[in-house]
Amino acid sequence: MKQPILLKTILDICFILLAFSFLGAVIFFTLTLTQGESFFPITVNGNVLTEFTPITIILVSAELIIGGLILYTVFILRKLVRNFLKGKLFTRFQIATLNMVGQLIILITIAQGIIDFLGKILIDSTAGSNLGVKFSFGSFWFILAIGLFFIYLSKIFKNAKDLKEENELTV
Amino acid sequence: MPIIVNLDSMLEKRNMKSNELAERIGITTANLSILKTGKAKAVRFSTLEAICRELECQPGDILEFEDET
Repeated sequence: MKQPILLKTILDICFILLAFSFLGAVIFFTLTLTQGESFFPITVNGNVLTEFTPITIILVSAELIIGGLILYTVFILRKLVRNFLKGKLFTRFQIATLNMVGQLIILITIAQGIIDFLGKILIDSTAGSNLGVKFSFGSFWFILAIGLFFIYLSKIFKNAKDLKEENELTV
Repeated sequence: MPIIVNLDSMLEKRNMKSNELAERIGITTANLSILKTGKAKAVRFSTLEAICRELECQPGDILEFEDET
């Protein structure tokens, strides 16, 4: 299987799994809020929530919003890869989408960091942040770098688009 | 753009049609139109050479610089 098709397939699987998880999380959270009891263990920072105070509701809602943003990021990445597969490169859509994906990754990473920090303060009652570099690709700084890389890639694509236009308008 | 392409007037002087010139110099009429309308970003020396040969003129007869300021 060629790499772009494999990438498209992986993103499709990711999107479907994320969409189901997100929908499930929204439904369970709404049911929990309306019924007053938890049908499913809801965790924030690894702590299972047993009571729902306004702070925990805000934190879980924020986590759900981030989940929605992650779903949207994967959705536009899928659209981008499908667009690449059409064969036309360096289009305005690709430049805008790469930039958007980069911005969303940065926004999600920073928001997640803030929520984790607030969760530690408000739920664990301990102040601390997890900004150290871990031996994994899931570290805060690495994901931030990936976001910046996407923005840089969009700038490279814009440059390539200008060069392509210049080449096409050379008689 | 401050570079003006006077290809239309040269063609008129030589009593030649655009498509005829395009055919003689080996470029498409669409590309010649890009050159004539001033939309071209660059002109290859080979194209300029071919145009000058067919129209029996100098590059300066086709290209003109006009300061916009």
